[in-house]
Amino acid sequence: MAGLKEIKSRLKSVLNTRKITYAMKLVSAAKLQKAQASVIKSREYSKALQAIVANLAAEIAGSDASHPLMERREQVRNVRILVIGGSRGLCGGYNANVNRKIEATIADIKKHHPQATVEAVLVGRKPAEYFRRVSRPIYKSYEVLPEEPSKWPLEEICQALEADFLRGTVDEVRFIFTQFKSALSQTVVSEQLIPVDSKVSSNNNTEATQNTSGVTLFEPSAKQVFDAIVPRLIRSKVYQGALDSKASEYGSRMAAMDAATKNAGELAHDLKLLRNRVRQASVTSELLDIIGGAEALNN
Amino acid sequence: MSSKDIARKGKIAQVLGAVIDVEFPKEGGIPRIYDALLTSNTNIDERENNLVLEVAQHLGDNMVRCIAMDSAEGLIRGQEVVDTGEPISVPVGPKTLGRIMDVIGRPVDEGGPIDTELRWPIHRPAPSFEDQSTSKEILETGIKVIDLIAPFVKGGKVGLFGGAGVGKTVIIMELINNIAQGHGGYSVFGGVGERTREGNDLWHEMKDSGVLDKACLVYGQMNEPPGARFRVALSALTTAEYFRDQEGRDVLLFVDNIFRFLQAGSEVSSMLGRMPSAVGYQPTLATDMGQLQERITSTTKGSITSVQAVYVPADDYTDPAPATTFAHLDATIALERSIAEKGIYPAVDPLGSSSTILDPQVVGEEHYRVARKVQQTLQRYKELQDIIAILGMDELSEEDKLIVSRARKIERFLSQPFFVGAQFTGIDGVYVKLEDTIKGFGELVDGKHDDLPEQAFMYVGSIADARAKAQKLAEQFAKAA
Repeated sequence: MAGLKEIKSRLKSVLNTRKITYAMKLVSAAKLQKAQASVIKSREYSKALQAIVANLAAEIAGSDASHPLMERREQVRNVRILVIGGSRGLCGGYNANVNRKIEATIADIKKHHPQATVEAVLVGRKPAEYFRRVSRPIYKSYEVLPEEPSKWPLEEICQALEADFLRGTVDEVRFIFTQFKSALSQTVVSEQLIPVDSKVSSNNNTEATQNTSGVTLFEPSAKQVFDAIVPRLIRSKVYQGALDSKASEYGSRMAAMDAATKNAGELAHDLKLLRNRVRQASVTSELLDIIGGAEALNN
Repeated sequence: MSSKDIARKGKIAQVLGAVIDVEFPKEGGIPRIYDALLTSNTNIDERENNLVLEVAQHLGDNMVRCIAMDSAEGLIRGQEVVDTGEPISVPVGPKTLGRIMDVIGRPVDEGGPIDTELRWPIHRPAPSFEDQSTSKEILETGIKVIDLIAPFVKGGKVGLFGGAGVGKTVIIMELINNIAQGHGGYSVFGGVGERTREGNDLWHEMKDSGVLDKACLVYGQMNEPPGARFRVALSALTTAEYFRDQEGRDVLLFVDNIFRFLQAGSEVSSMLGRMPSAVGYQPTLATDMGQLQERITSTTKGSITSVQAVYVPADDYTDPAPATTFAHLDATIALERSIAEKGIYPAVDPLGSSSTILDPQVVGEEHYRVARKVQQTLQRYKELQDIIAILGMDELSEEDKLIVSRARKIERFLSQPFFVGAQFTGIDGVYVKLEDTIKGFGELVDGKHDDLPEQAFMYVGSIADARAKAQKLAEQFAKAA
């Protein structure tokens, strides 16, 4: 049986842990509210944008008018993956799930393009730590980031990716982020970012592209329209992904801290019972010794 | 004042359970402390002088207070008691081999009288300081966890500590199986206050495996009164001492259970009129223990390697009885209920067990390194357990996750199927050589087997067996899927 002092100090540390996890849960819940609001607001915009691109793309499907960022390449030699992950721990399986998706994505790329080299652009400290640990090549990583996704250097990242794609040093870009469904449910998603796939808009649940059979007039020209809209679509996707990821992180942390608070409570309860039992046992045995001694003296 | 020829006689003045006061006539004096007195108790059997009393105290007024070595029910005040003039003695020497004796050296195996003139008193001085040997050599037991964490010393003393039902007796039996049968020398088994059935089983087992001819068994089990249980450890020890001192042999002494010796002492202590000390034990607890333990030692002539089971009341290692025993031992094997509850047998606690020879000078650098690394890994796992319970595995750092996975494998790899348990578990016992043990755990802590699943390490012998089991599990899994 453990000593009374040992149990007491363990109990104290468990109760302190519980306080911390409880506070973290409340903070995450508050932050989640904000993040959730911005996810929902921004989602409207991304959805609309995606619908427009899908419609336009369907429009010009027959013609040879296309955009270089939408062109699929036969030979895929260099793949880049853009990962949005967390920078802090204590958020349940959030980071581990992202890491798992990274592995799955890389395996998928290797399956389709056995010769391809894979490099990563990482947003958040945790994915970078993971890459370093398993020694996978990092192309660029952004590890010190402000809380707000709107202040992240997403524009810079998108520009670089586009430029590399157009230059031909990169043939495909995959995007990994955590999609926010609710505070309790998030899924990690891996999708193709560049070349932009106009048809696939699976993730954001756009209504099936309505095939407008009518005539769309491009003004001044289809090329100029696409030049303007395609990069915007990419940025919208990335920004949306960042918002989703952040909200997911908060949701995941809230759930994890809630569970931790509950676990700590249970542990503390058990320890309290044990403490009381040990205390009582020592009181009883001391009493027995005293009474026994006194009795022996009386005789 | 030797007085064998006088045959001093006294009368019973008081019977208090196992404690009997005898009054001697004013002239003629009284027997010495530890001398044996004889009386007849028809409740035991019809023989004359069938009850032995041992003088424990002189009360004054020609009264002596004695402890009965057998049942005292049926004694009558005024009954005659004869002084033998000498302490209790037991037969010793080669004739005791293959036999079972009780505390006063009577055969209890229905194998006829023990035909020997050689008898030694059960109270003897401990070997002097200069006679004691100082050699330090490891004794392989074939049990992985013991060889690795708390290696036995040849000629040393080992304690097996554990609460009720965690497997002390099973380990003792396995050790008898592994060491006594391979050892070739003589063994002495002292059954102190444990189950009679176990004593019976042991006798049959020894007979079947052919080691009975080289073993002497001395029993004073649960059914005996406290006096017998209090002295039987000394009787067993005396037969072992003879082989050590007179024949210069290396003897194995197994005692199950040394706690019962103290418990019996405590049972008679209050009736002897001593004031109970801490937790109700006798005030002479440390003396009782010291007098016994100091005699179990190796001398320049021969050695006694002893393995003692020690019951730990209520799993409380701070209880005075086990606490007093700790100090006398070279190696302590602590059995832990929480490990037994996980279904891991032997339930040896690798963090609570220790040995004085786990020292690079004695066991070698590699053994020491592996043993310490195993303990470090398990210690870290133990520290992380609260965090895992609260936050879950995902929050651990990668190094900690690796430590946890290795620790869980080590925990399982410390289990081992026993020969003596084969009929219950259905798994044949394994004897693992020391070098295989070190190699297996060395590779495990160095991360060479991170790919194997945890279950592969449960109840296997060497690391090669674990590999084979993993293979088999994978095949089963493939078949099921």
